[in-house]
Amino acid sequence: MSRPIRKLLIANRGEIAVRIIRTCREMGIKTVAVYSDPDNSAMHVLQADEAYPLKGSRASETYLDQAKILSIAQKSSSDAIHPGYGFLSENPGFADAVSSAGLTFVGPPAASMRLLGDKTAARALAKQLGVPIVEGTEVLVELGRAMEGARRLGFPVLIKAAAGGGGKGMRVVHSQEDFPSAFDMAQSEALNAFGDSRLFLEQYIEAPHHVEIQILADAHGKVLYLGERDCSVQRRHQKVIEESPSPVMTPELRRQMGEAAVLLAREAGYVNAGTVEFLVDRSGRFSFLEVNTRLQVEHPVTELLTRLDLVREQIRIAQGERLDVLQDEIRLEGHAIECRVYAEDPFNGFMPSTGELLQYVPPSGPFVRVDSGAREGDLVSVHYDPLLAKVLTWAPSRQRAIKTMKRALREFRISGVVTTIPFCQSVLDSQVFLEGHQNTQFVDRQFNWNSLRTFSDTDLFEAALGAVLVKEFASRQEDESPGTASEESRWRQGRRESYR
Amino acid sequence: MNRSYQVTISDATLNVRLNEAEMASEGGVSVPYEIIRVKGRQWVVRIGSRMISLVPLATGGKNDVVKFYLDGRYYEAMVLDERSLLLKSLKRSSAPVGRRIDICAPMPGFIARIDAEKGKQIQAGEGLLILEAMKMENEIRSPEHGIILDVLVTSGRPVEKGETLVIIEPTASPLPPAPSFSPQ
Repeated sequence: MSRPIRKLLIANRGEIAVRIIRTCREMGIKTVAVYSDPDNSAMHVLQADEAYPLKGSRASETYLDQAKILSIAQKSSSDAIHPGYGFLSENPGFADAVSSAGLTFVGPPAASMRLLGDKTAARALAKQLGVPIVEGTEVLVELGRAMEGARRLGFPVLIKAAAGGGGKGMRVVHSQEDFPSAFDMAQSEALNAFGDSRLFLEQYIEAPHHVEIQILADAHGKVLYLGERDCSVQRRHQKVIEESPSPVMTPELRRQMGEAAVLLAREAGYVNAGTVEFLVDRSGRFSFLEVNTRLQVEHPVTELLTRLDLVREQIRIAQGERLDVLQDEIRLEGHAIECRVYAEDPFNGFMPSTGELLQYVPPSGPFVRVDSGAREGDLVSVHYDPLLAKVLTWAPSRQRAIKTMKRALREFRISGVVTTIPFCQSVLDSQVFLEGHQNTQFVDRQFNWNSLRTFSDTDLFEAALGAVLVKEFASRQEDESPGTASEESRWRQGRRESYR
Repeated sequence: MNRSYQVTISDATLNVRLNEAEMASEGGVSVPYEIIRVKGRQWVVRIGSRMISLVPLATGGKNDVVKFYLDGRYYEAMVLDERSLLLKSLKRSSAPVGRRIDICAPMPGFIARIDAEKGKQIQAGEGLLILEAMKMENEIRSPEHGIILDVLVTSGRPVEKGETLVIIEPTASPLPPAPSFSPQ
C-alpha cells in the first residue's frame, strides 16, 4: 500500500531541518517549516516552501507543542511530518497523534518505538534474543532500592533515564557516598528533559568504544544494516566526533553486530531508519546498549560510505515503498569522519556559549560536507541545542580523512560564540585518536587539556598586537563620542553605519 | 608618538610597542602592521606578511580586558598602557580587607533550585544552587569555606551570564558544625 507524500512538515529546527528540506526538494516534495519567535529568520524558515510561527521561545511551548504542530500540519494541508532528532522524534504519543490525524509519520510505528524506546524493555528483548547486554537493573523510582541495585552491580555504576537520551539524566557514580545526591539530580534532570523521572542503573564498562549500527527497515519485512559508526569521542556523554569504519571493526564483527541489530529490529516490528548502539571492549566483545528510534545526528557518516541518502530512504519507506537494495549490495567505501561544531566553551567545561554569530564562514572544497543551520548574524540562545554545524570529510583512507578534516576545521571561521572547533582539532592531533584507540572515557581521562591552551610564539605575538589594536580603537571611540551612550550601543551604532 | 603596552594572554606577558610608522615591536622583533579593512565587527589586519581576521567583542575604552576572535580563535587579553601600569603598582601597596567572593552565573540559564541561605555557613564544595541551561542541570558550588552574605536570585528566574548569584565571605578554616535545628 503506498501513500505518496506531497507536502512534508518538519517539526524541528537548525541543521537537521535544513538537511531534510534539501532531500525533499530533490524529491519534489513541498516543505513546511515551523519556528519559534527567536527562529523567525532562521535558515530552515527561509529555505522551506512555507513557514508558520509556533509563537513562544521555550522548547515546551514551541517545537515540543504537539497540538500547535498538528494544527499547522492541518492548516497547511501537509500529508506527513518528519520529526528530525530530539524534540518529538522519540515520542510514541506524538507518532500516534500524527497517525490519528490522518497524516504519515516519517519514523517507526508507535508500538515499536514504545518497546525499544523503553530502555529496560529493549534490554529484556535483546536478552531474550541472545544478544549480549550490559548488566543493569529494572526501572527504579525510590532511592533505597536504587542503592541496593547499585551495590549488587558494584561501583562504578551508571545512572540513566528510562525515557531519555543525549546524556540528559545520566551520571557515573564511583562510590556509595556520592550515590544519593547523583540519583536525586539525575531524577530532576530527567523530569525536566523528558517529563519522566524514571531511572535505571547499568554496570559501567571501562574504556569501551561506542559503536552503533545503522539499520533501514521497510514495511514489507526487509531489514538491512548499513555498517557502523564509531562515536567514542564524547564529552558529558554527548558525541563530538564520529567516524566509520570503526578502528576496532573487523568484517566478521561487523557481520555479527549487524545481524544482531537486524534481529532486534525485526522482532520489535521496526520500520524506517534506526540505530542500534553497542559498547565494544578491547577484546572485540560487544554488548547491546540501546536503540535510537529516529534519524541520528551523525547519519551523514553512513551516507558518505554507502552513498545512500538516508532521509530519502526514510521518506520512501514511509510512503510504503520497498527497499530496493540487497544486503550484499551494500558496500562501504573509504573512510568518513564527522566533527560536531557546538556553541560550547571547551576551555570552560563545555558550558554553552551564547551570543551573536559575528562571523560565520563554513569550510568547503574537495571531499568536505557541511550540514549547518546557522548563518552570520544569527543569535545563539539558551533555548535550544547548541549544535551549529556538522563538518564531514571523506577519503579513501582514515589518515587522509583526518588530514582533510584538519584542513576543513582550520578553514571554518566562527566569531561571536566559542565553539568546539579547537577541541576537535586537539583530538585529531592526539596520539590516542591517530592510533584509533579513542574510547568513551578518552575525553575525561586521557585528553590533554593543555593542548587547547598552548600558543605558538607567532600566535601570541599576533594576538597581543590584535589586543592592542582593539584597545586603541575602543579608546579612540570613547574620546570621539563622550556622550552617555553605553559601550554596547556605540558598537551597535558603528555596525549600523557600516551597513549604509 | 610611540605607545607601549603590557599584554597578558593566558599566562604569557608581552611588551608591545607601536610607533607612528605603523611598526610593532616585541622582544627585539619589529614588523609592520596595517588595519586593512574594518567592516562592521570584521577587521582584516596585516601583520608582517600575514593577513589575519580580527573580530572584537564590545569593549569599553576604560576596560583593561580586551576580548576578540583572531582567525576564529577566541582570546581574552589584559592590555595595560603606561598609565594603568603605574596606577596598578600604586594600588598593590594597600592590603585587601574583608574579602568577598561573588559567585556569578558561568552561563545564561534558569535557576532551578536554591540551597543557599543568607547567613548560613558553607563548606568548600557544598552546593549553593542549581542552574539549568540547555536542559542540563549544573550545580554551582562554593569555592571556599565561608558565610553566605547574600542570595541575589530567586528560584525559577532566568539569569544572564556573569550575573552575581550569591555572595560569600570566606573564612580561613572550616567552621565547626553549626547547631542545627529543624522547623518541623
